[in-house]
Amino acid sequence: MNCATVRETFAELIDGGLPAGREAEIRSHLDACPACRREWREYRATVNALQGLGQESPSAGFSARVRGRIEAPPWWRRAARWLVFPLSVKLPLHAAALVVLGVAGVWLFEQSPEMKRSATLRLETVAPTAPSSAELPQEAESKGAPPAPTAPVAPAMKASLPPAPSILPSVPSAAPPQPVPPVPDQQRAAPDAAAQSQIGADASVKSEGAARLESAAKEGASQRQAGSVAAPAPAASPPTVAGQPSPFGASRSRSTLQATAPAADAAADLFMTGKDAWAARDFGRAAASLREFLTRTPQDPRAPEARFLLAEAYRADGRFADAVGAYTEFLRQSPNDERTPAAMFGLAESRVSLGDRSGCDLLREMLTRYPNVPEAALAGTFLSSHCP
Amino acid sequence: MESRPLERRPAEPDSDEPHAGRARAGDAAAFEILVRRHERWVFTLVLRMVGNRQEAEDIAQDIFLKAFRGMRDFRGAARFSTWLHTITTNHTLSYLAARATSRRREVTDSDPDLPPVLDRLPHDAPGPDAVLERKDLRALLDQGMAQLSPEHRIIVVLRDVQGLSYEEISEVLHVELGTVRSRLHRARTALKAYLAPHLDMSEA
Repeated sequence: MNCATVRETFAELIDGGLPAGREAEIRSHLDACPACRREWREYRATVNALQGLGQESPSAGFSARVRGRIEAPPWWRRAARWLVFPLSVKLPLHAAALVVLGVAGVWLFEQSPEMKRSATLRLETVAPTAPSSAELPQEAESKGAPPAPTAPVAPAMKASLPPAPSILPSVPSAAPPQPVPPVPDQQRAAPDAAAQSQIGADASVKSEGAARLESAAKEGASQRQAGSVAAPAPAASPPTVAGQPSPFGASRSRSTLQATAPAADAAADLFMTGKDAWAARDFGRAAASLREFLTRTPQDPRAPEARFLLAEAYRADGRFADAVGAYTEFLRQSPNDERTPAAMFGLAESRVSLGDRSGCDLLREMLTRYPNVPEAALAGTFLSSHCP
Repeated sequence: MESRPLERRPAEPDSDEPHAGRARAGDAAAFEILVRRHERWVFTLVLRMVGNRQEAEDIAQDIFLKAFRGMRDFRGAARFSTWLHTITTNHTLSYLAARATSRRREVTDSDPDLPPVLDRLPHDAPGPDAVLERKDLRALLDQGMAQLSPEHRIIVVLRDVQGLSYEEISEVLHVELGTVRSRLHRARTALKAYLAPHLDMSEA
């Protein structure tokens, strides 16, 4: 038995578990070997020191603290209690928070066009009405008009704008169209005629419903030719009992409150489709989409832009009579818009293209009022070439 | 092979059973009795492992909390003290591993040249000079224990401080008896090498 083997047995020697004969051999070796004996003494002293460390006690109240943690309510219950108690403090805080939330909600509503449009659609759905003639674009048929010689005018205008042009003094100011109960056609004919006579430029004014039907039919035809599937024209919708085309189509007239959001989405799609088509110079499709958009949501915040683009699309497409009606409607609804000078130019050019010399007076009026807008140079050139 | 049990034993097994049964049903009062019966050895074991009283007390509380929440898993197949030993050693070793990782990261961030052995020292382990000055055997043992790896330290604590038999250690640590014996021997030998210069080795 060598020293290494003996030293490997120290653990069992001190803890017990060695067979009696084996233990006797080990002890015999230790008696004879001073080195192993010293190792054994150090080993035993180390273990004795460890075993002499004894037990330690935690601080007083340890078990009570453990029980306190066991019985402590879970964090979510403590959080709920913190939120509610004490009532004398938390109730006023909650009331104040509700007020703040309410104010924030109103502010957000005021700042969000989508929410406003949704609310408007909801109102219209609860009390669906056919738009009055004043809400619909004035359109007239024109045949044999020469094609447009110029490109559409850019809508962005940076110049500060003076009040509405006096060229339209008798046009009723742009009272925002409100949902009104349906009225008989006979009652609506008088205001329509008055409005048209105030604008006083288009001789071939038809009744508004007929004009819309005819125009829509033309747009629908052009759409089918272009293979477009977006934004069906109003003429495709079956007429209502009163003989007027439903502004929202047959499905729209059956719409419910749950259909409000999809209706808003559909209107937004129409607007974007119209803008995209306008940018792609597909003026026929642009006009169809924008007109349908305006028919569905005449009070949409994007309606002024849609009216302007619709007029521009007509003019670019050579449909000057339609353009005159659309520009006139735009100027009636948005007399102080940044696009007003461009609309005046477009209206003047459309009138002159139709042989109406009042367009020249309108251009001069525009130059007087807006001498510094980009359209002024165009207007000057146009006056010198078309208005001797 | 059966090792001689030491005198310092955890609480008597039989007297734990009724309290453990009630605690398993969610009785906090019954569990508090179990805490009072076992708090000393749990605290001692953790203290010998981490070397800091406050830290040890917090860990011991966590251990008892974990034990209470795991009482449903205690089926009575083993003694409550053995089951609690398993929870205590596992939790303490996990804590030390996490602490070592954290300190290694701190050391690496501050001075990458520091020797890695420093991250095994307990927070308040006395420095070598202080140990040699005071010749305090307890402080010397703490210092020597801190030099051991957690795996060697726990086996020394379980055997020489807690008094568990080899079989119980094997059950608690889930290792073979031969592993217990060899690991214990290596741990004691390493500690002996550390303590020997300060021990009176005169022939008795």
